[in-house]
Amino acid sequence: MSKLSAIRFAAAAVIAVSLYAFWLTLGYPRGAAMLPRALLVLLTACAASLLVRGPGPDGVGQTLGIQNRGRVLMGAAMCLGYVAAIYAAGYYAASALFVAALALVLRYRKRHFIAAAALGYPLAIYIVFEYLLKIPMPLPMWY
Amino acid sequence: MQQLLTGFVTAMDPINLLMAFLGTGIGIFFGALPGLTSTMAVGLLIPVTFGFQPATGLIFLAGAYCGSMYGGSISAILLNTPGTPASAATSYDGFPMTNRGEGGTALAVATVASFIGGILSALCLILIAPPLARLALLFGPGEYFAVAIFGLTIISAFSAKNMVKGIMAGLIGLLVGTIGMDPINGYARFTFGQLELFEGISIIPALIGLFSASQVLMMLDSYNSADDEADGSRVTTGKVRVPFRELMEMKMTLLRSSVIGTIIGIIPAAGGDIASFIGYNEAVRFSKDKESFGTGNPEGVAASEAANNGVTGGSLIPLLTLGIPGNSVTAIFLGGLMIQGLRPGPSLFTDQAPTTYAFFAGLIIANIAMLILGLIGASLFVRVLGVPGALMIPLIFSLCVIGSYSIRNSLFDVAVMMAFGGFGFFLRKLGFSSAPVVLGIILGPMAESNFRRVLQVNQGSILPIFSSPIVLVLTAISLISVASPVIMKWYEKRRAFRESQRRTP
Repeated sequence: MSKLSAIRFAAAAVIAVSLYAFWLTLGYPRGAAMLPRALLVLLTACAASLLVRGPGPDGVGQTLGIQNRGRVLMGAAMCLGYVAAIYAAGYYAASALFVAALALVLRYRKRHFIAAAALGYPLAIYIVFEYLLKIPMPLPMWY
Repeated sequence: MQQLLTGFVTAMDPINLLMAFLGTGIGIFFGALPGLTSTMAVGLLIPVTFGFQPATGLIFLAGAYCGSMYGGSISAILLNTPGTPASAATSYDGFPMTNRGEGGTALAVATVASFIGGILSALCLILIAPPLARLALLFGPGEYFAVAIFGLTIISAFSAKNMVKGIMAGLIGLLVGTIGMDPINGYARFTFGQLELFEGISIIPALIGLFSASQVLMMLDSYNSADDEADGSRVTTGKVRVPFRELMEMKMTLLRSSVIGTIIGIIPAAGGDIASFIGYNEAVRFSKDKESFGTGNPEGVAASEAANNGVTGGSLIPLLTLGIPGNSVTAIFLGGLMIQGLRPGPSLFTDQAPTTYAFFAGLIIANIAMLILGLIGASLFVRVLGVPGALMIPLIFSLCVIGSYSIRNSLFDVAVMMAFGGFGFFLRKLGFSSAPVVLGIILGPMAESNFRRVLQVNQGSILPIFSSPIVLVLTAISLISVASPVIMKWYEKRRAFRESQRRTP
């Protein structure tokens, strides 16, 4: 694992994606394919250089350097869940739930602050966007 | 002059005045919170401007830009934690002043210096931008191609630490810019049959993702619940007193730093952080009392703050005249302009002159708002430092969702924002800069369409464009831009050497 540093892994991924994208451009007319192909060749060359050189002397890229992988994954999953919840329950309900849930997951203890943010934020967004600016927020799909 | 006066009349409209103050206040809020930047402030506020008149929207964003630049000084002075990178040099003398019980005075100096820097750079913008835009009337496809190439060479300035990573980030941005219909024949590229991709990747969701959503993930990674339990709102400013006599004594420093900030702002890629360090360094160099810097000298605070707010007006010059965003904030600002139906270039100063000059006047009003809010509301803004991260993280992400959704009322744009958020997070973790990606996305289509027009006009040859003196000048500037990282590295080394000499007793 020590030899396959994060930066080398990323470089290999870039090369793979570039080759796939280059294959896609083979079906394009000459003019439309010119720039993407040139860029993909250069990108592959740069990625190959990173693959060979690996992390720099400062050590950046040896690992991803994520201090708390569990929390980041949980947070990212909650963000995805939030967008899905917007689709299902509409922006306001999903936002109130998301604000409260993420604060609780992060072990914030002041419940009255959480409640105030969870209720006050959607209300503020409603007043600013829907009432004053007439910009509609997503509604629940069943609405 | 007549247009500027008309602009002032528009900007003095009560709703525009209110928006200037509101934008500035929100900008200060963002700037004061460590981790939230000017880019995020402007990016997340763009959707609010959808329902506004163009001038009102731009004045609101100008307030946010100026306010967030200044806001970083609050936490730099009171907590020794710069709210934005541009305020790092402010903490050198600001925090020692707070330790001496002079936090209020340091905030007052920072506010007045930011105001002077901001006003001078706004005046430079008003003086320089219109003639430069008139020059752009002479531009054809060859000149615009050269401008785009010049913009892309800025990538080298972002890549001083690792050229390969910088170039890779730029190439990825350029590739993202090719998604959608090709600009000459309309052939769909990398769209995978998705209708939403035919017009290309929407810039604002991509930028919100790269800068704001990725920051949410960074905040999740570094979040420490103990910080939230410690009550940040207990930080106090002391009495906010404007030291008029001391400010008069440092008038040359204020002027010098403001000019430095404006010039650095005009130079693409060199933002507020570089300006504040250079401004600070020059203040030390010219001072008779060099030893007092770093121990709580108000002149150090003034030098740094005048320089970083001097960047605001300067950085808008290449954006408004040539369409080149010199830094990430102006890249976002470009999105704000486009949403209001405005295109950078000569038309801003002819067809759209009323809006543009109202925006210029608004920039000056925003700086006045910053002065008033900074002096009167300093103790209020300090309370911002007590906002717990556990609540800020979901709120910021929710604003990212609104920002990307409300452009076209499309959840597809939210998905784009999230994809770029994840991508931006990994870029930052692997030591890549997001700025070259942004430049690539914005300038790629401009370079490609003009390059192909040049080839069409000149029967497949690019050489005829070099008969244009404008192209030759732009090519020369591009070469200088490529060489500038080396020059900056040399300057940084020299600065570090002097710093070490100064700190050694």
